[in-house]
Amino acid sequence: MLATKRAVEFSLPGMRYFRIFLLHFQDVFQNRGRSFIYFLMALLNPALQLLFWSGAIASNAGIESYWSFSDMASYYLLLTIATSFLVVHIEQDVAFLDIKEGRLSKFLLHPFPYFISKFMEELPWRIIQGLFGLGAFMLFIIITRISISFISNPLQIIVALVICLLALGISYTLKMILGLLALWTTDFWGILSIEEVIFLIFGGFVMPLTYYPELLEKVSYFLPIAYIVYFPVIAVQGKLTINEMYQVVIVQLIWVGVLYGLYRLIWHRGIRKYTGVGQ
Amino acid sequence: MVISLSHLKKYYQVHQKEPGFMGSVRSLFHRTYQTVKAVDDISFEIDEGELVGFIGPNGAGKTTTLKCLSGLLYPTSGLVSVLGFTPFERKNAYLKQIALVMGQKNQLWWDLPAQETFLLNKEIYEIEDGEYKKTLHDLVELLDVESLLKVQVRKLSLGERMKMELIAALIHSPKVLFLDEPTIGLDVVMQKNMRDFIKQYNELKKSTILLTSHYMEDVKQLAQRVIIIDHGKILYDGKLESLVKKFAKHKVLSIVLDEYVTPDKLEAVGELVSYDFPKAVIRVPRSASNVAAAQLLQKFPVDDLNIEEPDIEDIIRDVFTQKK
Amino acid sequence: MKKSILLYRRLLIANWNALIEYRGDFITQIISSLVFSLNHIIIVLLLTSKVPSVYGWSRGELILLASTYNVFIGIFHTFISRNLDQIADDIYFGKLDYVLLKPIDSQLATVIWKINYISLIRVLFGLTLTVYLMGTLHIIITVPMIVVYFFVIITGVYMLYSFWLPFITLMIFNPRLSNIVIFLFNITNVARYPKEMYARLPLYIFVPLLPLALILTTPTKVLLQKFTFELGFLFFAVCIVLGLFARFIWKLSLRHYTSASS
Repeated sequence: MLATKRAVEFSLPGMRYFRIFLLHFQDVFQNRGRSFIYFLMALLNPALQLLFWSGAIASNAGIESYWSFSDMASYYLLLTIATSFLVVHIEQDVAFLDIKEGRLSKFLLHPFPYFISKFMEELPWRIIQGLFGLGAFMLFIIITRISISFISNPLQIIVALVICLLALGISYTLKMILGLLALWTTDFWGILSIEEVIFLIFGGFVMPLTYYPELLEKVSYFLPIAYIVYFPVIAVQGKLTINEMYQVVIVQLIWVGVLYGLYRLIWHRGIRKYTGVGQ
Repeated sequence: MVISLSHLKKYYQVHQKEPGFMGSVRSLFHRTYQTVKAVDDISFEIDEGELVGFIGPNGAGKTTTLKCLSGLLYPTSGLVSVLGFTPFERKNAYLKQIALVMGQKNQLWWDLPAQETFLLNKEIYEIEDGEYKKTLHDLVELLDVESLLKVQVRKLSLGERMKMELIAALIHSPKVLFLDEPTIGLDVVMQKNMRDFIKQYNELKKSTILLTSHYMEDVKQLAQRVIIIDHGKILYDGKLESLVKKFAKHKVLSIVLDEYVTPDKLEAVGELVSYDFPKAVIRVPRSASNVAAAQLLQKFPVDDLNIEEPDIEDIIRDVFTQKK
Repeated sequence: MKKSILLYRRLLIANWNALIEYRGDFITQIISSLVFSLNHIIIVLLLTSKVPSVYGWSRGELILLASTYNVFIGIFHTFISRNLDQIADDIYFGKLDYVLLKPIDSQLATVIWKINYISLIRVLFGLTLTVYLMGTLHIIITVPMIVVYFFVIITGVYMLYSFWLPFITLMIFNPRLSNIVIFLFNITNVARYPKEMYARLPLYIFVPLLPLALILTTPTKVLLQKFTFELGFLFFAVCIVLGLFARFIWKLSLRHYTSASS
């Protein structure tokens, strides 16, 4: 009976993905100290900006009329959670460990897509750090007793969830493409540093993009980065109408399609190059 | 007495985790630890100029002992003295007189020729110009690496890199040299070169050398004295010949026959290890080897007979398996 | 003393030789350096686009703080950070052994090996911007000001090193925390903002962050001619205490060092 149950379990289509995910989750759980440190990094910059703005409000009377402290607090706290859950960090692994050090060969020999493998490796890190983020969020609310508002309409909640899932998809695919660029360049650090700065400035990590100078704001909306963290955050905050949320979903779907297509192109060309040099 | 170890112990606490996800969750709330006795009450003394082989299986405690002697690890208990210093105090005067070479680890700057590392070490060890030039010249000549001095370390083969590692470690002419598996990963020719160098170095400089190795050839060719360690305890400390006499319970008789003899007749003399006519190998108890030899010569058409000691690897393997 | 000078001279040469081995990466490293130099300037410009002043610092003064950050961090990255990164790696891979076997002070050995010449570009950028901003703020640069400014910066670099080192030694107890160096790069961002910003925080958060809050604010106040005796006293007192603490922790941690097996 048990043998039959096990046999059925293994033959179910999603089971092997689940088991692989569980294995990686266990590994990340063992590295929870490292995970916590990564979370602290995600927390730090929003915390500093929040502190900056609390002083700015105190010394500049006009600001609170368009941006209250509780609005700001909710933005930066949600930013921390969103960064933890949605910003993927595979590019260095892909570029240095897999491509430069040849670990990619191991993946190429597996009857399992590399794209999915890396996702299974990364997902546990997102979940655990996201949980740290939620914990920090609740602690902050309890200590400061600030009232923070979110969307409460069920439809908006569902659409916001979709926005978050699509954000993860954009984040993952974009970072995968970045990592695969190491197939063509010897100095990946240069690319990484430029990516880091662009991400920071155009991702909404400094302050809400709506408060940027007009030109900079427009440029941000043209890039996929704003759809990874910024739009999920303001969607959850309730700063978008339901129609605006649908528009965000459409743009995200377009970006997912474009990025995935780009990934496929880079992957096929890149693997030919990688295997061609006998790595 | 250059090296003196008295009741050295080095214990580690190692966390034990149950397998599986639930094991990970359980270990969050309740951790179990196991004490690993890497070195468990060992004592020995080494005189100036001795070349001692320190052998044991993986995890025996060899490297841990070397690291306690070189000052890298604090002992859990016991007394350690090298050249009159307490190693873990890591005084500069002590560090200037020792060297530790680890087979798979390197101290050379990867992107530069080894010469740059030598010059760095010259400043670190405060070696005078004249002395540096002479020592470098002697080592380069002994190891025959003149043409490689200006080649980037990353472009050298493993064997060439090992030679440069040795020069970097010996440039300050240490009185005590700890070699941790120096020939590991090298091909047989390079291993021989290494051994020849170590032997010559020991003879020339009268430096005290403690060498750990998995390769019996290293021990056979180099060590006058052997210390066998397993599970943190010393199983044997003495001359290699005495090791054979103490632990080899058997001798091996190799014979060449003129005419075919059935195996069962040969088995009457002793344990027939192999028989591929005309050659046969018979194992007999040590004390009965002469009697067995006489029997073979009398009863069988033997063309040639040799009485040999068993392979040193076999003896040491027997030592380890007996002690488990 | 002579040994240290000769050794450091040798290290300067070795690091320069290592740098020019990879001529192809020169350009991308320079670009990276410039990109990071501009990064915080842009952030400050964005943040202050809506507010003329914060915590008693005007927009111009905050940008001056940002340019001092480039000078400071350029020096720190040139001489210190790569070494601490290397030490973290050495602890993780058990290669700290070779550092500990050398007849030089083990703590000194944590900072001397690597010199990152490319980061001097950030120093140059920062100094150029600082001089420009001093002009726009109508502050006259004097020789005593320059001397005190650099003295405070160098002391601040030592303070930051003393702040980083105990964290890195945590790896000796838990080698898995190999991302601690990235964390330290991040937490150094605390220094980019004025010290007054942190005075609002509870004491248990403010005190640990105080060294970071001081390392940039203090030299910037030298330039702004707002350097007071109290600030100077606090700065040097924190530096001495932190320095002693870092040394104590380092020495204590070495007793627990269990290098990776052979």
